[in-house]
Amino acid sequence: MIKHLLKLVWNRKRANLLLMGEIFLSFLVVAMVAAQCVIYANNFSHSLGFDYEDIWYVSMNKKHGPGSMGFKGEEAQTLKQTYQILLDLDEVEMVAASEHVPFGGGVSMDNFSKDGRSVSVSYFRVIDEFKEVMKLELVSGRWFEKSDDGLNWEPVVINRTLARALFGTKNPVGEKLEARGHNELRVIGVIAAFRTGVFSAPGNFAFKRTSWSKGADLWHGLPAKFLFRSSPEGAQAFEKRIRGELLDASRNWGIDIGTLGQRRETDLKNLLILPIAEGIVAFFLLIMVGLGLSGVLWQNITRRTREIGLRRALGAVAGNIYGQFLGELLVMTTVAMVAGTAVIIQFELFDNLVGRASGEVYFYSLLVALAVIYGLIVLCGLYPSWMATRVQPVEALHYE
Amino acid sequence: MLKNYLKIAFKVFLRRKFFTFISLFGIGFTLAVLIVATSFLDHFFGPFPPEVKLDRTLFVFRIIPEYRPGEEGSTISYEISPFFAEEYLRPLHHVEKVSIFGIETDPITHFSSRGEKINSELKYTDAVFWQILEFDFLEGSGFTAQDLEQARHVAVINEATRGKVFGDEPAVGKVIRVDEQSFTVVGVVADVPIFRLIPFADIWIPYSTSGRFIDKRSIGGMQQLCGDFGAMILAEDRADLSGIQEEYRHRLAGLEFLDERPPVLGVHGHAESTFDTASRLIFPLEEVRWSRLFLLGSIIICMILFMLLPAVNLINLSISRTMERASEIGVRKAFGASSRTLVGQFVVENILLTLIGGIVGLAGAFLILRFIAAIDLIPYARFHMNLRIFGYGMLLAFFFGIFSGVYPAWKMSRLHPVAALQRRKK
Repeated sequence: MIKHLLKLVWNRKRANLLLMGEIFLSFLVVAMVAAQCVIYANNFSHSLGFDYEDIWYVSMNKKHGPGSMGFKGEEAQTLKQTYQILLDLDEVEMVAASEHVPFGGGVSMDNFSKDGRSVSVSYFRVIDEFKEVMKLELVSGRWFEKSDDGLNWEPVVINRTLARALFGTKNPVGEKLEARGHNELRVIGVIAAFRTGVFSAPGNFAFKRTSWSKGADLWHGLPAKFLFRSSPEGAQAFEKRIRGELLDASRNWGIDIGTLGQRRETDLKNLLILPIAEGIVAFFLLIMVGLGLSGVLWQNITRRTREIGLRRALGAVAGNIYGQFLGELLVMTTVAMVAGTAVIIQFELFDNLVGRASGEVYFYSLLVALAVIYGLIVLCGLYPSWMATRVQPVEALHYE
Repeated sequence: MLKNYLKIAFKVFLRRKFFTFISLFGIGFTLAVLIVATSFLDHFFGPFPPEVKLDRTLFVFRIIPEYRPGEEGSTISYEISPFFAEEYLRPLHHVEKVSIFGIETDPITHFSSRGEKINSELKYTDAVFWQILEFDFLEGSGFTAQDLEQARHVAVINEATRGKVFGDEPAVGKVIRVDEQSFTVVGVVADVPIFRLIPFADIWIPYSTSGRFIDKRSIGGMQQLCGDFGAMILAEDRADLSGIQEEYRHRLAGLEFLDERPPVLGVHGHAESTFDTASRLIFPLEEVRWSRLFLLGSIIICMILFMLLPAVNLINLSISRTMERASEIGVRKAFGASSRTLVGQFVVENILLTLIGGIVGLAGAFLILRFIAAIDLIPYARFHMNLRIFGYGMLLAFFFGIFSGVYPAWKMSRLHPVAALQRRKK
């Protein structure tokens, strides 16, 4: 049966090739959009690794204004002062400081290597209080502590993903790491998870330590973002008070104050714009393809009236005709999708190579694309095929 | 001849309304998306107010000191200082004006008289800024060279800020608080969208009022040249641009600071258009000519890729209708029309269809842009449909018409007259 259908398709190969080309292109479009959605959904389902509820942030941004070179020591001084002022607020028990804020605040990047295996790592440089404020979950080893000031090597805490990437199943605590231009690095602890954005991938993440006693050296990874827990009640008044308190300490700095909850919402909004726009465009493309295909099929069927008439005259029932036309269509679709899958797999191999997405993501997006395209094609084929079954043999054979 | 073609085309379009509708829907949608994309690009790089003199403007954003190979920081580039602009840009020949300004804006938070929080973007500029760029002043004017020199606390604000702070009442002469300092408003300008990176801000103040400003005339060496500024050079005439670029490169080439640690062996930099800067960022090639070509090329390739699916769709539709016109083709062939004439006719027909689709697309794009403006996706963005966009749209439609029309036309023209007149397929 399929062999016969293939033959029918082959007999009209020129026109069918173009149809298959169209199906192939639509398949690629759907697969691309699906891949993005699957990546987002997959990342979203992973734990953030911290609890953002009720966390306030105060982000100090160095102003661009003229003459910013040669202020390093002074900047460190300002930050230390800011920290103290925030700590002195009645509502605040503990303040953490970090180089970056989660949800769209960026990360620092580095390369860690172990036994010749090198991986790219995102990291935050933070002070000791960070774990407590963010409620990070430590799974083995320990977090930074005050006595780390005196170490002549640099302690790092890594997440489980990074531990697996570098050490496999081995316990990473106490192991040494190499990174360019650093003192010796040693893993002192492993946390359960950490991601910095709503849709960021649960990738390799590490924490490096900084502390106020480092003085002028601080500017290396300026811990200019402060985080603390406080209830969100009376937010506006609270914010105004913080601004008032910080006024003197922070001349020539831009201050951004808010809650991580607000940041998360903004981040979500910004990140969704592009996929939504893509989705809308893809949706209209599909409608266009659907209308076009039904038009073409309809036209084809009116041209094959004689063939249909002959088959009916020879005893084919409506179901057979239905089967033939839908079957032909599905054979063409399948050929186009095999080609499409071959192309998508190239992308997958490439992405795996650069470690951007896993095979699973592509598997699911292929499934989605297959389902959508088959659904669309069947939908487009139904009406024209039904038209074909309505052809009266007598009329059809008369057709000349 | 052409008139006849068009007449026939219209008759054909009207005969099968469903097909015409599908085709127009596809073409219109495709072109609408492409026109929206073009409009975005145009609003990024095209000459829009206040940047109306872009065709004779060059920008200097960064300079790159060259160190001995392997020396630390060998790839760092620096923004320039006012001193640099005064010493190395101002004296270039055929330069009419040079303005310096903070390249990026600083986010600041201030409060309205009713205590509402206002987030604004602050930009430091000089006085020439207001002369080169033609802002649409609703009240007052920009600040002057004296304001800059004496570091007077004056500010120009945009319409949106005026609305938030003063409730749409005249603002000139009133005081606005920026970072707990008072600035007197001297001018109010119409909002500038955020993607006009050079002029964009909510509040503009003289750079000399910043607490961080240091007069670098007394410092020597490389430090003196580096700051937080970009410069805008207005040439006397378009034709002078390449000469200015050449002279600038030449002046920089003579610089070296061997006493610095590490020693600076030379300084590199470019004076160029923002499109060139963007292409250099995306395609860092040896010569900017090639970067520009690559960026343009990739934009065009993306557009063609996007057109591919709609084009195949249209080709399929046209081909499936070939038979319908078999008798017409047969008659014309029998009376001696060559294949080439027929191809010409069908391509013209297709172009006509896509041009009508282009109008539909323009209308669609107009609605989409209105929608984007309405949901306030991009602050202060007002996408007007202008003649340039209309022209681009029609050009796109024309290209699309040829792109999708040649193959079906060729296919139709090859129909054998006998077969065609018999109205029978093989």
